[in-house]
Amino acid sequence: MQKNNQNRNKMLMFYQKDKTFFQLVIIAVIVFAAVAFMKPEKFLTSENMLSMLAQFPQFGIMTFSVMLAMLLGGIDLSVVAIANLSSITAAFIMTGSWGQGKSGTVVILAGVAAAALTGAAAGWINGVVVYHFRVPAMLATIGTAQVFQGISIAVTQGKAISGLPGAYSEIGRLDMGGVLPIPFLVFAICVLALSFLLNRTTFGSNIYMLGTNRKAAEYSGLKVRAYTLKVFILGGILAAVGGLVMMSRTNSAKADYGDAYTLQCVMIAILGGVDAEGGAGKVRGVAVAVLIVQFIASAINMFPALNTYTKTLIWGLTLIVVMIWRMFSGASHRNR
Amino acid sequence: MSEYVLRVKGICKAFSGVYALNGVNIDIRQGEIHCLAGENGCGKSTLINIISGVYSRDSGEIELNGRQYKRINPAQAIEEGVQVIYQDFAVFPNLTVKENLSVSTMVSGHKKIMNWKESERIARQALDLIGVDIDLEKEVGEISVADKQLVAICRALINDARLLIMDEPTTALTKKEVRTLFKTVMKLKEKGLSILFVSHKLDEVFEICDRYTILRNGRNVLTNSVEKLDNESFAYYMTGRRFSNEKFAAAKKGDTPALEVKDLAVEGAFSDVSFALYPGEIVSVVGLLGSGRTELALTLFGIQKASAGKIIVCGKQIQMGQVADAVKAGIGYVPEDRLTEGLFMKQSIGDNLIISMIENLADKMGILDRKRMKREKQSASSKMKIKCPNLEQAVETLSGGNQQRVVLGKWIARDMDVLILNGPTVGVDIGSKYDIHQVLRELADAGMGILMISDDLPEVLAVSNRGFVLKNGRISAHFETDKISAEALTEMIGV
Repeated sequence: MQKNNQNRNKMLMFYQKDKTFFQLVIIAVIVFAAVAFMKPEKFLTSENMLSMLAQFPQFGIMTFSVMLAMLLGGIDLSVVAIANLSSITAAFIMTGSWGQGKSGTVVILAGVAAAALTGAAAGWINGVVVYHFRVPAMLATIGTAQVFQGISIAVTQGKAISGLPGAYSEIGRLDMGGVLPIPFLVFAICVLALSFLLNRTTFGSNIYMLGTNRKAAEYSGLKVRAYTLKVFILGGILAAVGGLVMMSRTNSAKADYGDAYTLQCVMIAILGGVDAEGGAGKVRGVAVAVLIVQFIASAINMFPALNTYTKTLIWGLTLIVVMIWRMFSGASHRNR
Repeated sequence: MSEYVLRVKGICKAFSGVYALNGVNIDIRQGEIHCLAGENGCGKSTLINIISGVYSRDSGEIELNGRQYKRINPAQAIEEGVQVIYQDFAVFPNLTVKENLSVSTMVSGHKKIMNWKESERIARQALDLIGVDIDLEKEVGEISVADKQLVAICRALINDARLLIMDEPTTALTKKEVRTLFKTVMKLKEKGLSILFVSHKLDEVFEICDRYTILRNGRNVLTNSVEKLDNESFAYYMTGRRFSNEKFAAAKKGDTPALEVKDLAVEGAFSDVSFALYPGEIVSVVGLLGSGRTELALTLFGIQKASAGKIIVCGKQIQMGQVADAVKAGIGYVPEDRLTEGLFMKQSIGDNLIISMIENLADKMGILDRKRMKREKQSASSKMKIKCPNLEQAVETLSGGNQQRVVLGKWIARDMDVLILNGPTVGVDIGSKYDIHQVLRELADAGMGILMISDDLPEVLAVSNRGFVLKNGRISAHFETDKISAEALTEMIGV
């Protein structure tokens, strides 16, 4: 009897500790069950499951990039532009004359490395504009997004670059043991690495502190400049990884792929419990939010009656509902 | 008409199960200045919010001008003449004085078109009520704090105030401004207004109030007239503790200074500043605003760059101009605006306590040792005697006094050699002030060197062993606290 009570208390404490996460898991289960109930013949198939697992990693990884900027109390609206610029860089290397006669693996690795470097550089530029020139992150990244996309358009002349090495585009299609698509594995690695970084290292801990109160962080001896730059660089690299995954799935790179992801990523981050004011938000919450959004997206696709025009409407409504929910749960949280 | 403007009986109010008010009574007579005193978190603000209709009470009676209310909403409270001057004054900073004063009359008159002449007349009339002169065309965001307060008072008056509630009105004012405010308040009293004056400063209560009510932990402690009141019992009633007025005899421990400053200068702020601070000492820095004292602290902590001079910590000269270097060398700084510049409100108490030492709790890869983190959090909180059920809760859930302890605690966790404090007890209630002083003494006893910038001369005399005066950016005098009186010190600081 007493033990039972103790167990219940433990569970209650566990729930209290990360309410948002548990609420999100419950929402995910409900959404999944609802869609499965309405369209079992389409939704509950192994093809659909596999295709969902392959679809969300690209915007899921980009969401983490947005999340990082939001932890500092800013935002990053240039993720998609960075993703495209990075994948275009990779595509140039993979298809260019440089790779002629070299082994496929070397060419692919070089492309991936170049994409990561491009992402890091773009992130660094964001960081410099935000920290050194004190431009609010939202305005800064709207501006840099235009610049990055502008470069992409200029170098590709607006066309898609295709003809990637066969081995690379296989990645987007390959399933590990027929069960796990590679993009999903990449996503999972990002989740694990980022959770570890944010929860178990001084770097992560200090990001949360810095995002909560920049002045206090400065007065506590934190190197604010270094942290700001590092966070944006890391965000840029994550955006590049997202871009590489996207490139493997479309088998090409183009300046305006995934345009709709920008705001979707912001929405997912907020749904996942990231505080737009900075200093709060967990990787696991965002990961579950990514799943929820994928379930909804798949559900919309299963109703042919909902054409592309109403899709936007549905996304908009979802966004507003999410905001209202966050406001209420946030308010109750703050109300001592 | 009733003899009382306000009678409140047995008010209870709980927030998520915790009583903020538990059976509180208060009554205010016509034309009386009544003081409401108590430590932070005793329920003063909750009581004000209930009287003005912002919160609804759980049980108890409210009677305004002889009328009983079960539930009172803000509109009814205003109707009954209850006006609150909040600490932030609730004025519109982007509107002019004129607009601020006339807006409520204009709105309640359902005017759709702004009548500027009428507006000016209302505003002028309002200022005349208390006989002050403020430029009507200025934006309120640009006028001084004291003037903002006067605007707020005038606005309350033209709304037919009968009971004016002033929430700690003197906190942000200079001494001169406090004098003007008191004159205004007396004038209002003569006009028959009743005033509920929230304060925890005894001298103010003594000077201006007729009666006082003291709250502690949401209960009435005492209501009496001011004549029967002295400093010691006032402090006792507010906190429930007796304080001894012992003086601290800080003693120099060791011959190597914890901090030595040689010919330090910052252009436009101060120059030729040299002094030594030995372990175990508490040295005060006094001086007027603008004497360079804050700049000195910021320079020692690496926030500002020095234009000349040396800073030596425990015999080692340190690199200047970087906070991280100062911290690494063993200097801690508690800023003037402690709560907004020193705390991470949304983060946990524990994380706040270990922020300055977090790098020592990780291995070379930066991976945190969770067991050690937990241990350090616990040891810091017990060293600082922070009262909380759980170190994982957010700092913002703590009472003001406990928040102050967390600010100090983050440097104590790290075992600093030198602690610089800027106004360590500004805006802190009596009980917490005493505790902070106690902690400073303990730290000095443990061998830390403490540099304390303070305006509070009794504090300087009680806590530090010696000090120096900054005047126009130079050290103008040194003093030892057991050989000087507060009056002599005031003279040294000058005007």
